[in-house]
Amino acid sequence: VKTWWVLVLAFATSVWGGCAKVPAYQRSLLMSPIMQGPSPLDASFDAHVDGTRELMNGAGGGGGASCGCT
Amino acid sequence: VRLHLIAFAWNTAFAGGQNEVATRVDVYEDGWMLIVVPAAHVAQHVEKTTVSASYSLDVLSGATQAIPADTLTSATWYRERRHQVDLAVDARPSETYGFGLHGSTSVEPDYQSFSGGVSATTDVMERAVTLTARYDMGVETVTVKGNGAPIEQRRLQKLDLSWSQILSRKSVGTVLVSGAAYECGESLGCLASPYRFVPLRDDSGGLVTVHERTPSRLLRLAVAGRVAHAFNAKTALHGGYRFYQDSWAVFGHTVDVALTRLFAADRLALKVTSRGALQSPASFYRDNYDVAVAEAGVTVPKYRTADREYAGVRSVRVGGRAAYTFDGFGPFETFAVDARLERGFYRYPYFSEQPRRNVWMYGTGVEATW
Repeated sequence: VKTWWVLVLAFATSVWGGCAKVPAYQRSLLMSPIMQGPSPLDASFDAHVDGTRELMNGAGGGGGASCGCT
Repeated sequence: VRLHLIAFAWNTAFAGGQNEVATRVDVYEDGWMLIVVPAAHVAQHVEKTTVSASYSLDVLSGATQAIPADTLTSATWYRERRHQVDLAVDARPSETYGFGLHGSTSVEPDYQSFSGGVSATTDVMERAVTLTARYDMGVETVTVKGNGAPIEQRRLQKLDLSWSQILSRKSVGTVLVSGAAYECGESLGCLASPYRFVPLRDDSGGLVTVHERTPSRLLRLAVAGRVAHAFNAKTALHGGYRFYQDSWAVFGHTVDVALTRLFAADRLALKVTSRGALQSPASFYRDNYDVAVAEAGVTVPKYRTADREYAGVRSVRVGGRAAYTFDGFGPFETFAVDARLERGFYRYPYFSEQPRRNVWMYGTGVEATW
């Protein structure tokens, strides 16, 4: 358990402090269609299949970015 | 003309951001089962609010085996339909926070579910970080086919948290944590089917079948990390890892990777996808439930299942998708068609009756924005 929390803390620290600040005008690539996740219908079908074939469930989706570009 | 008038009226009434409508048909087949899923989705912005709705219909046809030990003679052929509707309203009163309401219902001949919940999202750290929380609660009812009489009711609560952060000009990372709690009846338990029977073998080789039964409580926890990285304006890589654990001693690992590349003046998007999963069996799962026959009768295991998904799974799925975007016409700014094809290989090392299942998934759809 201790190792687990150390890993979480190390990850959070590196993410929080180690990332360069990206001004809004430099975020256009992050907002491009290739950076977006699957469409709602695609994601729904995949989740339905996975939910039927496996007991594992949850923590799906995500990966999108805050716009921050307005 | 009539369509243009409708579109004009729609746009006039709901002047806002970019709206979208999509429809598609997907197919799943694995040799035992064929599922055709037509679906539609629409999202409309009304000033600072987005209203979205989705509908999907599962048309299932295939064979179900009531007794795994006797696959051929116990298989029955069936055809069923399942309807699902999702509705959501998301409001963004400020540039840095928003909240939403959503509801969902699913209905099939022997099962109904209703769920609803709230969500909240906020941007912090100069909008480099997006925090999202979502809470859902729902009720599922297992019913008798034909007359709809309830057999058992199950209640669920679910909490999803996510932290999405801009890592660089080209990368975004996300951490997701999801917890769910199911409280179910004692007669079937959570996730069990009233139509599935479990074979019990005694010392003399005799066979007795009893209803499937699982624990009446299930707690689930999933933690995932995802990264999306754009190599340039035309190529991006998406990847993720998920760890899963539940109160039935099921552990699981899931990895997925997808590479997207734009061609033809960015009109054609090709995507290669892959997914691998490893899941351990549930604590009460047995490939064979051996029982001893005494004078008082047969002692039946309290929890028992014949579902291969409880047996532990190793799976690999690979596939590709192609989408082509056309110039808009009429009221639409963009119009895109897409197609997908995936091949999946599922292996059940502790389910000796049918240790493998290979699946095809394919589909096509159109999407328009205005």
